[in-house]
Amino acid sequence: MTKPRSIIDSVIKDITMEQLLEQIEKTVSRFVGVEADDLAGLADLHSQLEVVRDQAGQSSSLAANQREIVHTASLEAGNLIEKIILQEVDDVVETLRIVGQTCESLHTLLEQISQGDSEAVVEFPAELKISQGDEKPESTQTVPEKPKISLPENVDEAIFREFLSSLPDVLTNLESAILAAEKDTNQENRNTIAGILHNLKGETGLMGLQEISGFCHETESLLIGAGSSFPAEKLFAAKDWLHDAMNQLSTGEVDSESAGTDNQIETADELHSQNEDIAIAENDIPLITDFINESNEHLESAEEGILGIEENPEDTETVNSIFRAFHTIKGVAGFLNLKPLGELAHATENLLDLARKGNLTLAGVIIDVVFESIDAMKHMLVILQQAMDEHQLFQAPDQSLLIERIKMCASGEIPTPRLGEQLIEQGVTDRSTVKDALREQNNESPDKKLGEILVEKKCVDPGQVKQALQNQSNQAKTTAQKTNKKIVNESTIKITTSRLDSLINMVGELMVTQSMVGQDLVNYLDTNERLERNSRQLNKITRDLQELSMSMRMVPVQGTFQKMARLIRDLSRKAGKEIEFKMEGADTELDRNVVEYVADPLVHMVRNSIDHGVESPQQREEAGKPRTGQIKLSAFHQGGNIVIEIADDGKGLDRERILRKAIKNGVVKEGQELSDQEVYRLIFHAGLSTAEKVTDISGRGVGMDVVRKNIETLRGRVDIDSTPGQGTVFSIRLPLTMAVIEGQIVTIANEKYIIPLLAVERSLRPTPEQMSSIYGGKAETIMIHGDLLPLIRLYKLFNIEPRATDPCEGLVVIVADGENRCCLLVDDLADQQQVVIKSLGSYLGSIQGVSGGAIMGDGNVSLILDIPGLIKLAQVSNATPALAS
Amino acid sequence: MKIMLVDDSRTMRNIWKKVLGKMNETEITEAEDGAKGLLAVEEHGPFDLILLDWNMPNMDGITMLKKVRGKNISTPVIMVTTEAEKPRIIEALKAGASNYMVKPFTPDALQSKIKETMKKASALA
Repeated sequence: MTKPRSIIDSVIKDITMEQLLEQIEKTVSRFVGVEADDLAGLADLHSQLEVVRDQAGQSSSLAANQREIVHTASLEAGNLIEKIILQEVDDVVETLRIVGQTCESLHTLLEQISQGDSEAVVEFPAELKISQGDEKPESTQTVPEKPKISLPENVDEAIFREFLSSLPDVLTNLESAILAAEKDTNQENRNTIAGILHNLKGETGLMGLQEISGFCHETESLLIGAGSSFPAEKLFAAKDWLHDAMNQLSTGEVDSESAGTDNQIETADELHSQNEDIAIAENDIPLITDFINESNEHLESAEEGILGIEENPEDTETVNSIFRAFHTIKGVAGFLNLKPLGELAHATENLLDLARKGNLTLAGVIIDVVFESIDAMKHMLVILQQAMDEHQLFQAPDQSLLIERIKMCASGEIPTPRLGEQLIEQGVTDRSTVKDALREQNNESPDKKLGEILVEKKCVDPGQVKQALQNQSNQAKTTAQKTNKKIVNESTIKITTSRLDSLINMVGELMVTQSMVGQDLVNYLDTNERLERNSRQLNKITRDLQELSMSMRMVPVQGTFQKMARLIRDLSRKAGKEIEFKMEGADTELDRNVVEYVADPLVHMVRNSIDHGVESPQQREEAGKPRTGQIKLSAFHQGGNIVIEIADDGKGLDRERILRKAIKNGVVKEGQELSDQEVYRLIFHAGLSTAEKVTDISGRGVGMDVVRKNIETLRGRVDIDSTPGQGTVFSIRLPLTMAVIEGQIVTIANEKYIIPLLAVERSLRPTPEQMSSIYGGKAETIMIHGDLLPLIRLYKLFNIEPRATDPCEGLVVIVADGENRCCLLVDDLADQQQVVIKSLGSYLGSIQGVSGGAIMGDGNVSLILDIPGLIKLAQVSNATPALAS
Repeated sequence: MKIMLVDDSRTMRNIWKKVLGKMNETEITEAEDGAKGLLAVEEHGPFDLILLDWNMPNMDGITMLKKVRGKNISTPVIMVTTEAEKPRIIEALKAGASNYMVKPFTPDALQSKIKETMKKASALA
């Protein structure tokens, strides 16, 4: 993967063919002198191949695909050499032979190119899996059906967890890159994909995830070997494979991390059986005595060091020395078989390693944990000394909980923001730059600090890094003040949604109770200033608490929208159409539960747009439209709700056809007057499908019905806007949360009812002229701005004696559900307020016109009106006079 | 055989001394960081073998190695690394290490690694 370099670099350092040849000849001659056990010689050969690789990447004398080949060949040969050095190959002689062969082939290739043969093709050893030209290699690139991943054994848990949490982003980027390259198969797009695969290969390789690493390698080769064609399908399949693999890894993870406390006990038990009593050999006593003394010295100086660090988090020398203290203890403990000491030292060493690399600031909670570790070590040394003195077995106390805490700090689960995050938050740099820098740090310059690397790459300036570090330690200090000592059970961020739901429920109850108390207090507030102040404070805190708990469940729609990208691509291909996908407002946030429910309707509507909305390229051309159709998903907030729109520029809804189908299915009566909107909304009716043929993706009429049901469950609504020939827009309007609604309280006699504010249009007192009745007085309507709206007398429905039976003396509230409207007769309007929705319970069953109950501030229960239900009721009674109440 | 041990842990050096003591006729010099090691090479050298740890204060192993090689001193050097640092071994080799040893190691492993390194060194001489 070519490193990004400045323009100036590439201009100055263009490598000529001569130079390349010289270099490869040098490499070949180096190889000749090398033997399998000649480490120095092998290392030198490795360097030469690196030079070949770099030079080839910078040479304009090579065509793009030739560069790829040289790159891959030299890279692979280098990797093989590394394996030989690390004694990771079975047949050294054979591997060396392959390396030699590769060098020869590279030489021949470059020679031929320099002699003018620009189409030169040379054979490389099969093991390298290089192919050239346009041949698509058949056998080696079959994508295995399902990944079978074995979890790595020796890998550090903190590192593994961090890697795992970064994977989803990596895979999303991969998919986007493949999509982009499909549109434009230029070299840059291809390189992006290759780069992602290459990095992933390296990371997984380091972690012992050989299956994944190998798979990335094959996929990378597939891409490079495909020459000028672009194997999109196979790449997508590869991405899916990786996704599966990731899930396997995550579940493996989750299993071992199940419910907090249980797992703690498990681990503790495990460790206990591992913390076996250790017998101390006579011979080892002098060594162990030395070890105890030296370790104590190290721990003392570490403690002193840490005390100074809080003021000077950037004192690298001190951080280094603290790191070394634990590093040494770990090393020696390994030799002396003092496992418990070794484990604690290892965990702490890792944490400190992160700190000295600049990825973590030693402050607040982290410092606490290091202190704890120092204390625990000292304690263990004391016990060790005792055991030695008394010729007893060494029984180390269980440190598993402390080690857990240390690992959590290392993996960033305790919220001390890392340097990279800081800089991103401040807008000084972006995530991908930080990721690149981190990768560079891991792969090439582990001794450099993250801040240094970023400054070197000119992505940030030193002042910003310093500021961020300062912020970091400040924040860490405040976090330390907030965080409890018992970190283990409370600081994990992963919790079950049911628990979160319970919390939110309780906060809701709190709100209600608080407002009840508030009501009771009203009488005392005038005379007691302090009480009033406290009551106001209580009010505010409760409201803040509610907002906070709501926000915990908020999730951006981005994820759901992103899934649509892939879906649209697949479906449009199947349907033989060209469709471009646009997103807007993907960072708009929704309650998590809502997001889940909204996904299915979105899918259905997108399918609908692709199948029936957007025309085929040919039809579009004939209609004078661009061949590529467009589907746009947008999300935004509007008046306390969230709106999600799906817009396409297709042929729009066919009013006549829908109407005809509806009449045929008996949903609508012949001759009924329906507005455009009303007709469009008919598509949500079950059994109504106007597709000519039922395709396997939609057209059965089931989809749209599900959409309607889901949206209703969410207490939202769907509006449709369509212009024939131009396109259709579906607008889904949803309340921001499912547990609480904004309600308009209305009174009928002494009873209070709640109308969801979402549905309220306006209220008025009608004049006698506006009133009229049809069907011989059986159904009533009110004329409002030229529209005849049906009227429902709520008191009749609920069987109570109202203050006013004459609408002209009461109040009429106009409510809407999409395009349908009706009027509700009430006595008066009261407040608007948020109410917590409680379902009525199965005892009462479902009541017509009522969707739930709410507990009011005065402790009474009010019914929440079911507007869609009432509107339907009004229509029915109008359409079929026999049923009019 | 004149051997220098460079490691910042006294205990570690003791362990090595114990192992090396079993080999015949060894004279051992110790240094606790790269800077002192470099000084020892200049003042008490040349050595027949240097055992070099990576992580040390003042000057780490790889820096000392580069400096030693920079002075055209070709004493065989065995770089001592941990399992986690294995991928960096090739870096050490390029900097001039003659061989490498992964810790923790058994006394036998260390002895045979030393023998192997010395044999190669004399073959090249």
